[in-house]
Amino acid sequence: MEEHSEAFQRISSILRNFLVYIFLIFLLLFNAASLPMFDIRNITPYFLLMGIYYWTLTRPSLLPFYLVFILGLALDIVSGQLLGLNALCFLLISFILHGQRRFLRGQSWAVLWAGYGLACMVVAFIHMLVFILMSQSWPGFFPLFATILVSVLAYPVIVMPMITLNKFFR
Amino acid sequence: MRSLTQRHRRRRNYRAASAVARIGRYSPYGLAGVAALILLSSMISPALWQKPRIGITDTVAPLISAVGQPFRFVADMISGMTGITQLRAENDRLKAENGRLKEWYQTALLLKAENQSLKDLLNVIPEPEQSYISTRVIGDSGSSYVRSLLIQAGKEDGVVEGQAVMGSQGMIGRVIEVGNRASRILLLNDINSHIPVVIEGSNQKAILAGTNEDLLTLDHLPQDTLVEVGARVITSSHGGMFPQGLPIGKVVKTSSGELMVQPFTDPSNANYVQIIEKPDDPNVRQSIDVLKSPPATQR
Repeated sequence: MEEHSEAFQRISSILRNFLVYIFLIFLLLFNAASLPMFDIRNITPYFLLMGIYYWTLTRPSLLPFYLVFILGLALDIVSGQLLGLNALCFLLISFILHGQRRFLRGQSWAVLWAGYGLACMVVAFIHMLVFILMSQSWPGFFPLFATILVSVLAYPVIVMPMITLNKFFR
Repeated sequence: MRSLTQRHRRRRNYRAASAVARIGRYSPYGLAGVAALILLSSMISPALWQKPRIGITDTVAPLISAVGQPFRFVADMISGMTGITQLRAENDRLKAENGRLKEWYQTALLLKAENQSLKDLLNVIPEPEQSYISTRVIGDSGSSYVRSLLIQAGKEDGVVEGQAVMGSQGMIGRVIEVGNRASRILLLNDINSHIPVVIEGSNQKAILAGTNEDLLTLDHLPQDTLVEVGARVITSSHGGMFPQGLPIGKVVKTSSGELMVQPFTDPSNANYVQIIEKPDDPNVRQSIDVLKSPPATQR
């Protein structure tokens, strides 16, 4: 009987992990797909970053560094961006979050939301830096601010299903 | 004896776990190093990763298309519901435009006939007929600094690297990566886009370069060239990249007095595109057509 319940627990744990990864793949595809509602003049929210941010804070064991690296690299491949750029950005964010996890875990929802805003700024800053290096010219700042703003505004909507999914782990 | 085996096993597990933990502790630095190396190599030579990139994109393209489908459906429904009054106004405008275009059509027919007879007199080798591949946009870069689109057509549909891509009213970019079922287009406003163009009227050749903004710049334009504001900018056949005369945009003057080009079609908002098939050499295409055609039956 005990063996049965152990097996059941193991299967349900695998299933829950599987759902998290499926959700992350969906976010990755959202980032690469042309979504008429979100995609206004090349301003797309950082969908995948939302998933990486949330799961690194709540279930870091589910998202080890090598998985963050793979997700970043996959995003670079399917979105046609410079290979390694998002992989590097996401690794940096994940590394910072691992360091600040204890502080962030006890914080309110608003602080976590602001934290995501900061993560977006870091990613946008690195993207801008690489663009300046590549083109040797200053980019327009409007798309940069708009992307951060849209990402921050979309965060509660995208994070809701992840919170629901996280409740299944308890 | 049994407990000794268990102890050995436990010790082995402990060693394995500590090795994994050690790797885990140092892995972010190693992975960041690998990511930085990949980034550096793709900055120096973007073509280096082209093959694996398009291979993976090709595989994932149906999924990207499927994810975007419900959003496109909802967006179409919303625009359908809110657009009834706009449709009525547009209908009136189109009726008026249609009347004007009918007159232009007659003029065009006359000019075409005249042009053809002059070409016949001069024995000009005819330009090959252009054919198009119409396809849907399924993805974009999702970045403010990369202007590219992913389309649902590839080698299997006849797409070839370098082909010109047209939007509703003018050229929007060119094909840079081709997979079997999906391809990537570099838009004209991307910073890496440079194409040969001709400014109508002055017949001046220049290089049209992307700025990552809405307006495009004209490079290698002699300083003493007189370019009229409003002049049409079309593709040049120089270098054999594109067919001659594809419309791109018109010359505009910015508030700082700089002459720039405003594309006829906003490349970022294209939902459907047309890829222009053009043979490199009309004689080669003719030979291929002859080879492809079924042999005449001998009697």
